[in-house]
Amino acid sequence: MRRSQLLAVVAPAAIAGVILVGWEAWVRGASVPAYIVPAPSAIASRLFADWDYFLPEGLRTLGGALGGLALGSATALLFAAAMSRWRVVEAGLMPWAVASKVTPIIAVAPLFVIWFGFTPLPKVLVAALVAFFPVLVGAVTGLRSGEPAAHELLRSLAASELQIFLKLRLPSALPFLFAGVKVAVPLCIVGSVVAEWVGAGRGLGQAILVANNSLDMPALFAAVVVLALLGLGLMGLVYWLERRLLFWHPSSFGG
Amino acid sequence: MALLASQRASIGCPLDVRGLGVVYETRDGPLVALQDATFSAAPGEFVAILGPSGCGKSTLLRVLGGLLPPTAGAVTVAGDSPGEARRRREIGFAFQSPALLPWRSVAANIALPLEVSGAPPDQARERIAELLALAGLGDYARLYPHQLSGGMQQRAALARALALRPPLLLLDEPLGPLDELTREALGLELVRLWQASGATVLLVTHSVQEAVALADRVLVLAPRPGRVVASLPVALPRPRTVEGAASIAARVRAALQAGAA
Repeated sequence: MRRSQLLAVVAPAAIAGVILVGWEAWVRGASVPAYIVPAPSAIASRLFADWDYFLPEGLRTLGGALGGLALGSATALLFAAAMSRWRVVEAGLMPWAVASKVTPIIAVAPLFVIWFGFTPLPKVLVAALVAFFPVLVGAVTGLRSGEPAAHELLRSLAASELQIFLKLRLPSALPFLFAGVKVAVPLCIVGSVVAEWVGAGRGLGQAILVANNSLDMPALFAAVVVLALLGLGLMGLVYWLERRLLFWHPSSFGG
Repeated sequence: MALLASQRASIGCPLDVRGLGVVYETRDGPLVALQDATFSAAPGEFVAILGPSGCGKSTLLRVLGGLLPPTAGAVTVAGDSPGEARRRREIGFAFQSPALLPWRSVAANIALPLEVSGAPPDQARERIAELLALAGLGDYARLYPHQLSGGMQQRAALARALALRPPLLLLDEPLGPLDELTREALGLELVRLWQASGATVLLVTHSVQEAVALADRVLVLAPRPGRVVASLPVALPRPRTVEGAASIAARVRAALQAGAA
């Protein structure tokens, strides 16, 4: 491991250590009641004791987020393919895409639950809705970003529209798609949790509601910790995939 | 059935341009890029198109390549319209930018025309090996464009242009962005590739030296509006020497200055 990589691991860990030790000392020293702020040790022991509760609930939330990310990204890519090809489609659809972005998801989520029931489906749909816009914007820009000379070259070879799309426009769009997905990942976890709050099946969102209603702060914090870990894991996966797929892109040189 | 583009024997095609005019519609009104250009090229001839920027060199090449319809005049490539020749994949293109696909290795970049034309895989593999050897890229086949020097990238672009044995090769300042030493070396390389392929070559350049050193004939263009002002044969034996080229270079420069006046 290189020095800079070591630093990237050690420095955040050191900061976490300082915060956790300070937090623990404060809760114990000032005798803060656990229903206001629980000690990190209490949260950790709760997490380990009830891991067979938090893990499956976490996987339910993750499933909703991942399903939404996949559905939202795929839909966005399809829309972007049409929008980047025909200006009239872009002009017609972009205002609606923006509308989907600015409508607060918390206001729409209950509708989805009414329409699709107390099942994981509205969870996936809410997550898909919030993932849609950032991926769309990235894809529309990206699909147009192919080098003009490469486009001319393919035209000079009498390549079909489909060949130009698959061999030039789609690979050129990858860096922009990854930028969009990196924005979408945290959003679709939020979408999944919000959908659970308004009744779309079980998961960490529901676990937080239950813990909140019974003033079970260690459980609430434990759920938040699991959510944070899921988010980090998912982002890590996206970064890993990006490094694998974009080895040719200037952004990955010198890394 | 027509011969697959990848199987074609490579014999240069004739080229004929009569009264060619191209007018671009811009916001500030029509812009005459080319006016009444008339010239022809014999099969297998190496013609350099020389002129200052803004004389319509690149426009001319795009019309010949069937990428841009002319506004006036008649153009035939191998007796047909450039659009038809393009659809038959008889035209090889190389640009100032190598325009290699950065996510493809050198070999995969050279394979692109073969893929697009639907050449059978075993035939394509054989042709790629041939092209890599021809362009001196054998050791670089698995590298990616960002791992190559500018000269090597241009070599790969030239090999790609030759992939389907096109009877017509259109080169839009492929040596332009290179340093002088690399330019000279790649220029010689280009002559070798042209001789091996037998294709008719049109090379756009703004270097008098390059035009005289490489071409059979130099077509001098003048700007605003773009037009052909001279067609000077370079009757020098190959391989050429700097001394022999000097007197012809002087005549080319005189034609350029007369056109600019």
